Amino acid sequence: MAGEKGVPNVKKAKLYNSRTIRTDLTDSAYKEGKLSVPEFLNSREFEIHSLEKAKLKAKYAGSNRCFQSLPRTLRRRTASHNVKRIPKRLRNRAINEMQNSVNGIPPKPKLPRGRALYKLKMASKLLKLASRIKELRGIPSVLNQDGLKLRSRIKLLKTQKRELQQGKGEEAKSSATSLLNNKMGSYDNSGVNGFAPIPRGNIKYTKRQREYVWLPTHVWHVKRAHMIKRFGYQIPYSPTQKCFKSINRASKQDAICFDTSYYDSMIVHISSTEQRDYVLKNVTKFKNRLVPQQFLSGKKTYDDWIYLKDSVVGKGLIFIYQNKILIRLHPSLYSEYFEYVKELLNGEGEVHDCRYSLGSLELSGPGALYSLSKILHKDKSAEKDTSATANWFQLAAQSDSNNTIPVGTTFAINVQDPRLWSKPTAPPKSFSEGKTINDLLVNLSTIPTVDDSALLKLFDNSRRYETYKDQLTIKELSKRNNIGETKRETTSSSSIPLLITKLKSSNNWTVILPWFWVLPFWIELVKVTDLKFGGVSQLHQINYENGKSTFPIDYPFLKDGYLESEFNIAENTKKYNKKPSSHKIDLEGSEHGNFHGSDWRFLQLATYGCEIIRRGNPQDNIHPNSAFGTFMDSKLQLKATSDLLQLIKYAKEVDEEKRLRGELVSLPIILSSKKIVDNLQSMALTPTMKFPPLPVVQVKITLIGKGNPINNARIYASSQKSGEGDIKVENLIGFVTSGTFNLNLGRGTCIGCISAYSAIASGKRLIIVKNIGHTVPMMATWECI
Amino acid sequence: MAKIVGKHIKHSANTEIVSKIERETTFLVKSSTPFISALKRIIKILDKFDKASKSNRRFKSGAYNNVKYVKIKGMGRAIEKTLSLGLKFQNELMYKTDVLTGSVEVVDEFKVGGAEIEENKERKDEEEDELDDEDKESVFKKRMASFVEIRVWIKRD
Repeated sequence: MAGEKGVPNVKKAKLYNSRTIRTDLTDSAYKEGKLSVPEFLNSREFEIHSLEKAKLKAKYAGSNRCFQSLPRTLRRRTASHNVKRIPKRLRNRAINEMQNSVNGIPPKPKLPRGRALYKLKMASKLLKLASRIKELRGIPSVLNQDGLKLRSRIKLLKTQKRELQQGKGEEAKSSATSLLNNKMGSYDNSGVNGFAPIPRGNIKYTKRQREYVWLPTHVWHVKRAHMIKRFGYQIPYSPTQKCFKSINRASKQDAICFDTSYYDSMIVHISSTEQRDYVLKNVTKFKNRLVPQQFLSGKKTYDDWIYLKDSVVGKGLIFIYQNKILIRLHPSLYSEYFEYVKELLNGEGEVHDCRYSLGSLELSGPGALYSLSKILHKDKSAEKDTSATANWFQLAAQSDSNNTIPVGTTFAINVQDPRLWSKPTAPPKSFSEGKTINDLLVNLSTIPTVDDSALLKLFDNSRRYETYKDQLTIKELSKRNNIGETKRETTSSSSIPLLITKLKSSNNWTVILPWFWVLPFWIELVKVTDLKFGGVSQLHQINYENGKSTFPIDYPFLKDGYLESEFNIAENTKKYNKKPSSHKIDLEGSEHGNFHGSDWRFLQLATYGCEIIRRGNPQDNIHPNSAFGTFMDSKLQLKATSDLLQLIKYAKEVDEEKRLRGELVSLPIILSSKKIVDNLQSMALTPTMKFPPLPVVQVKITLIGKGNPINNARIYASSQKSGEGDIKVENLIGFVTSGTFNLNLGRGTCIGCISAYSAIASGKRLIIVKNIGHTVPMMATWECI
Repeated sequence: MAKIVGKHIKHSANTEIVSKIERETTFLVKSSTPFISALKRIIKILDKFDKASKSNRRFKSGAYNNVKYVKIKGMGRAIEKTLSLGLKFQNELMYKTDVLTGSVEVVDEFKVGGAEIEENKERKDEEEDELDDEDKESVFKKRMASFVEIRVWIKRD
């Protein structure tokens, strides 16, 4: 390459310049062997300055792209070739850096030609038409029609636009779906006695959300978090940035927010009080008791076990207001439960599917309420300032939300569009002389906390839709901001109902609000300083660190929890099989149960099988190979653990066959209640594969010494102090569902399930935790959650 | 005053939000706090303000310049330990210290009552009938508790 010889190496020259320090050699301060310090300093001024400059030059010469000097939180994907990913103040520099370094002219972009150009043009035409229709307050008609070609879609849109302009849509103006009351495209998507249709979103991204619904804040989240496709939604899993420590710190000092709109809600409309009691009896844990008055009066929310046909299916939130019951559930439970509630009503009353019309935000940490109060502003259009709103602002403005406020505390208030204020503002601390936050806490159960008008709006489909009336678009908002802040009230008359409640299951605060208001609130909420955001993984982490269980992962005794554990085993197996054979460590023989996860079926069979063996050996000692199983009277006799392992292997094969045939495999474990756990000794057991499900208890485990437990670690009963000899199949009592190093306690802790029989038997509550693939036993204590 | 029957839950005296700087310059002593680890942690806070060290730059500029002392607070049983911490700083580590005494308002929570059992139903299972404390009505009462606050003045020359 002859041409390159003549061109100076720019990079090298730059590096060389950055490393050389210019010096001044003349020195008049040194006279007759004496140094005059002020003169010396004066003469060296030039050198000192150049030294400082050189330090700076050396620092920045290495980082020759401006985004490299940005703090991590401001760095974005593809910032190297897309200036829009860089903060505005640095964009000019970024454009300079992106230019061709040889001649200073930016490279010519390659323009598409022919068919590709035609396709692009048509696509942009379609989008323009759609946005025009949106502006005319219509919903683009092609949204719900799959399989149409591009040209026919454009044709359809053109006719729709013409009709809207000519006012042909007039006759349909009354029905909400054909002509909207806002330009944002917000509408109320609920189903009455049936499921609501899946929302299609913006026309540009309709195809991507056919199977997995996007949350209102999806576009915000995909830029900043890893997403997972589960339960019919695309859910933020965890922020892209490392955050394990910072989330822990924020949960102790500041606040963390989550978009939990994937939790599904339904609203049950009840016709009489008898029916209300009937439904509550079949849904809540109050089977033999009357539902406490605090729940019935709408003062508190119920966040606890949810029953389906007399069996627990999970935990959920229930709020009762007049003749309406709000039931909010994890999405994995929802569809089945909706049908169940419909059955309960038996034709009287209605049940509304509000999963795509009610969204929710969740806040955790001591600053949760305070952060939230910074973006909320009293609705001034209401006739009078209701005391519920005033009370809420008083409480939120200065209380540490982790402390003292009892779980279930509920507020319902009306607020204004938060986007009308350019930045979060702290509400005034409005206590009268001599009163403190404690006075408010003492009276919390008697003062009004619920504004009726807010709940009436939130729980009614058409009135919820009314809240979107003239919802401001971003264009209108920026126009409005140019007018000046004084006209704020006159430009918008929004009044948005919120239901704010403290959850019992996690101690977090949740805000339930209309679906299309979630995004505006979210955008403002994340502007609050010292507020972090998280995904499902962070919710799990916070729960774990506070010794609380998370649905579904910590509930393997429920159907959804068991499926989750099966799912994890399948995922881990897949990962394992992809490894090169040199990296595959086969633990088949050394680990008890499937070493890819928590093998609950193994635990069930092993516990009952060992009991049978123990009965057969009156000396109470089980030798692994002392005897072999024999068939007597065409029945299998269990005599040693080797027989047991054979039985388990065979039972699993049968299970697998059943699963392939599509038959239901019953759960190997259930949550223990006093009725079930009488005694293992008196139970009639025969060596079959059809043992009854094993009762388990959910426990919180704390390691006594050092150690870092991991998920799916094995739990063994401990008999002696040493521990190593206790790792035997007959001592296996459970598995860890979530375990790691707990930063709150500064030691390893786990949440897991252990067999209820061993829980009764172990007096000192000492157990051994052993990680998969490790041999070191870790002593630990347990307590029930 | 009538006696309240129910489970008593004591709450922390810190029911209000405190600023970040205040949180960073206050040390709360519990009765379970070991003396030496408390001492070490307080010294750690004081060291952050030391101009000679290069770490913790944040503590040497801005609003942190207005911080004059580090607070050590203790209530009830921890008062004695707090005072001995104060003495340690005053006599051995040669810090200027102030001692303040006072009382602080705390909130007590009582879990009372519970749901009634329906009349025509028999009690099938005692455990299942047992109500969670969380589901019971909570009654709050205010109480005054004494505390002591030691101010350890930061050495700034």
